[in-house]
Amino acid sequence: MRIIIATVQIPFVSGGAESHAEGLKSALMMEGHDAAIVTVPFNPAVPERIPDQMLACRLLDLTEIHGAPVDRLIALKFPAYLVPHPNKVVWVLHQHRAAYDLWDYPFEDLSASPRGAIVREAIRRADQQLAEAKALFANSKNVANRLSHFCGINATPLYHPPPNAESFFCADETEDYLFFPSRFSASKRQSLVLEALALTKQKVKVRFAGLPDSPEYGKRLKLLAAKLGVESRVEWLGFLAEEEKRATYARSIAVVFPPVDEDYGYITLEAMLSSKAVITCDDSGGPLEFVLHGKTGLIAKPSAAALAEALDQLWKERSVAAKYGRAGRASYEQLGLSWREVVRQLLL
Amino acid sequence: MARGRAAALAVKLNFFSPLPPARSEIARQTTNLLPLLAQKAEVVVWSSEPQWNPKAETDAVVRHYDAGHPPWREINQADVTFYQMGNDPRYHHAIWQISQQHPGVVILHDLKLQHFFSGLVFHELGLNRRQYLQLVERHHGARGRVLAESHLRGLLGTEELAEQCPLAGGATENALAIIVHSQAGLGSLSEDVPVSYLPLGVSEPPPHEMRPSSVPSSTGAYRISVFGFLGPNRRLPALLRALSDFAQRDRFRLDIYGTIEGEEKIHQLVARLGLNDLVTLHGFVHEDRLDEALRRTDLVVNMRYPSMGEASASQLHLWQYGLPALVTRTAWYETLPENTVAFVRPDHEAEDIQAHLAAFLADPEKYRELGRNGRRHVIENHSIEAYANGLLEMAARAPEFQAHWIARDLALRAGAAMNAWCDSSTIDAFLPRVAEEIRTLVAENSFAALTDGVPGTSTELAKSV
Repeated sequence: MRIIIATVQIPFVSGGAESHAEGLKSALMMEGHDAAIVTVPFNPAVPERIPDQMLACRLLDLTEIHGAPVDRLIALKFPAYLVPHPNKVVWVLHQHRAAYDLWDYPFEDLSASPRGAIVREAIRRADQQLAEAKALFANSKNVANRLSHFCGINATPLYHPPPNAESFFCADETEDYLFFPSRFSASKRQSLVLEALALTKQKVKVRFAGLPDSPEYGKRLKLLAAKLGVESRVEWLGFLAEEEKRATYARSIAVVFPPVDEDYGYITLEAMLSSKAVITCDDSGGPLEFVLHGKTGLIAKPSAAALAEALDQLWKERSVAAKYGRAGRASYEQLGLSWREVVRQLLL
Repeated sequence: MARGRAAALAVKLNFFSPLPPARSEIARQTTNLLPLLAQKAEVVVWSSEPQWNPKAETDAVVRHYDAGHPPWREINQADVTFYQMGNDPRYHHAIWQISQQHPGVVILHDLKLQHFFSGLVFHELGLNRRQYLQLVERHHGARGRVLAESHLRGLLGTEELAEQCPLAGGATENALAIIVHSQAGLGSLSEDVPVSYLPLGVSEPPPHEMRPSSVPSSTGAYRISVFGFLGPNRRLPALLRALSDFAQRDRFRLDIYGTIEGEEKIHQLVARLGLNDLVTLHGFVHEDRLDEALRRTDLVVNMRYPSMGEASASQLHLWQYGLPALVTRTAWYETLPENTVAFVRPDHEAEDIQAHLAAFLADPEKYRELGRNGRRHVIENHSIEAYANGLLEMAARAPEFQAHWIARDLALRAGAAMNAWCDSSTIDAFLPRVAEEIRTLVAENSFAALTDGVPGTSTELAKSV
C-alpha cells in the first residue's frame, strides 16, 4: 500500500511525536508498504492563526501523488488529522489540549489570547471531523478518555513501543542519582521536582536531560534551583544522544516523571525497559496506565511534599527501587507491545 | 452571595458597561438588569472606572479592567461577552477597545455613532485622526472620508455627518452579533453580522402618583421638564424660542435637568429671550432628585432631531411616571403609537410646540391620557424581564454566532490571500471548495450536517476577492 502519515511539527521543537511518526513509518516499511511522512508546520503560540492552519490542512489533497493513488492516510496530530482522505485512519496522539483540559492552565497561550474563546470553539467544532475517519485510535487510554469526555467520540487505545525498545538495559551498578529525561516545559513539571528536592530529608540528586521549550524557560528553571538552594544536587545534562540516554537510564536508581496529564509518555516505558522504578503523580495521565504503586514504582500526590517523600523513599531503599524496576520490566513484557500489531490494527 | 449562587449556574456572562455613578442611562439600565440576569447566569460586570456603586455587586461580580492590559484569561472564562455601546466616548471608549479584540455581542444604544467616534478623536481617547478617517472610509467610502475630514476641520457638524455616515459599523465590525432596540435598526446595519431586535427594557414603573388634578402647581403654572444629556439634537434653542413666542408662556415653567453641551450659549439665549423667570437650568442632578422632579412635572419635552436612531431610555423612563411628552416625529419615535406621545414635526417645530402648549392649556387631561397610555405601553412592551430573557437567549446562541464569526473571518482571510495570486477565473474555480471546507470546519456536528453550513461563507469569500 502507498501510505501517508500526516502529522505536524512545531519548527525547532522535537520530541516524542516526531519519534512516533518515524517509528510508524519504519514499521510500515518493514511490513512491505511504501510510506511517507507529510509534516505540516504548526505554531500554536499565535492562537489567532490556528483556524488558518486548520483550513490549510483541510485544503490539502493527498488522495493521489504523481497520478498514483494514496491508499491510506494515517493522521496523528491536530490539525493534520483534519486533512481529508477517503481512507483516513486517525491515531490521535493528542488533541489541541489548550482547547480542552488545559484551557485553564496558566502556561497555555490560548486562554490568554483575546480571541481565545472563539478559537477554542473553532477547534472543538473542527474536531468533530474526527468522526469522518474510517477508524479512530488513540495513543493511550488517557487520550481516548479525553476524546470521549470532551467530544463524545469513541477511540480505541492503541499502544506502541518506544523507539529502539530493544536497546534499553539495566546496568549492574547504579550511581547516586534519579533520572528525569524530558523536554523542559511547564507541563512536564521539572519545577515541581526542584521544589520537592528542597524538601527531601535525604540528599537526593536528580539528573535532568532534555532541552527547554524556550531558552527563557531553561534559565528560569536554573534560577529556581538556585533560589531553592538545591543546585548542588541537580545536574543539567542537556540533550542526550539515544545511546547516552539509555546508559543514563541504566545507571540510575529510579526515574522521576511527574508531568501534568501526559498523553502517553515514552519515558515511563523506557524506564520499565531499563528495569527502573518510576515515580510519578496521580494527575500525570499516561504514566498511570503503566505504573503500579508499590509494585513498579510510586504514585504521589502532585505536591512538593508528597513527591519529596517518594524521592526520599526510593533514594533510601535502593533494594526496593531495584525490585520495583525488575517488576516494571516484567510488566512491560506482559503488555506485548509491537509495531507489527500496531500496523495490523491501523491497516485493518 | 453572588459567587455562591453562581456556582450552580451553567451560563457565564461578561457584561462590559458603565456603572453608576456614571451619568448614563445605560449604566442605570445595567444596574437594573443585573438581578434578573443573575437569576440564570453567572455575571461578571467589567468596569473601566476604578469605583462603582456597590449596588451592582449585590448580584454580580464586578471587576475593574485596564483597556491597555485586559485580563484575557479571566475574560475568556465566560461563555459570551456583551458590550453596552452608546455615544458617550467617556463611558464607552474602553468598552469599544475591548470589543475590537474580543468578539462579543454588541448592544447598540444608538445607531449613529459619530458622536462617539469623533469624540474619541477630539478627547484623545484611543483613536487618532488617521485611524478615524480610515474607519469612516472603511464603512462609508471615499465620500464619507471627505465629509469626516470636513468635520475634523470644523466645517461640518456631528449631527449632519452622522446623518450621512452613521458609522455604527465601526462599533460592530468585530461583533459576534448585534442587539438593536428598534425595528429600524434591523435594516440599517450590515448583513455580515447577525442582528436581533430586542425592545429596550425598563424596570417596573414605581408606584405612581399623578398630580391630583389638572390644576397648575402653587406657582400658578404648569411644569415642563427636559432631561438627559442635552446635545444639539435635543432642540433646546427651538424649544426656548417657541416658548418665548407663545402668548401664554407665563402659564408654564421650564425645568432643564442634565448636562448641556454648550451650556453658556443656552444661558445667553434664555436671557436674550427674556425667559429668566420661566426657565431654570438645574445641571446634572442625581437620580433621586430627578425622580422627585418628574413627579412634579406636567409635561416633558423629549425631542430629538436628528435622532441617533435608537429607542430612547429617557422616553421609557418618563413613561414610567405616566408623563405626557412631546417627541419629534422621526426614527424610533415615529414608530410609537399615536395615543402615547404628542408629535412634533421636524420641519414645523415652533408651530407644533406652540399648538401642543395651547392644547395642553385647553385640555390637560387629554395629555395626561397620553402619559397613562405610555405607561401601559412600557409595561406591555418594554419589560426588563423580557429584555433580560432576550439577552440570555442570545447568550445561548453564542456557539452559533462564534461559528458564523469564524467562517466569516476565515473567508475574508482566504479571499484576501487568493486575491494576491489568483485571477478571477482561478478564484471562481477555488471558491466553492474553500467555502465548503470552511463550512465543514465550523458546522456543528458537521459530519452529520455538512449541508447545513454557515450562511454567508460563500458571500464573504466572493466579496473579499
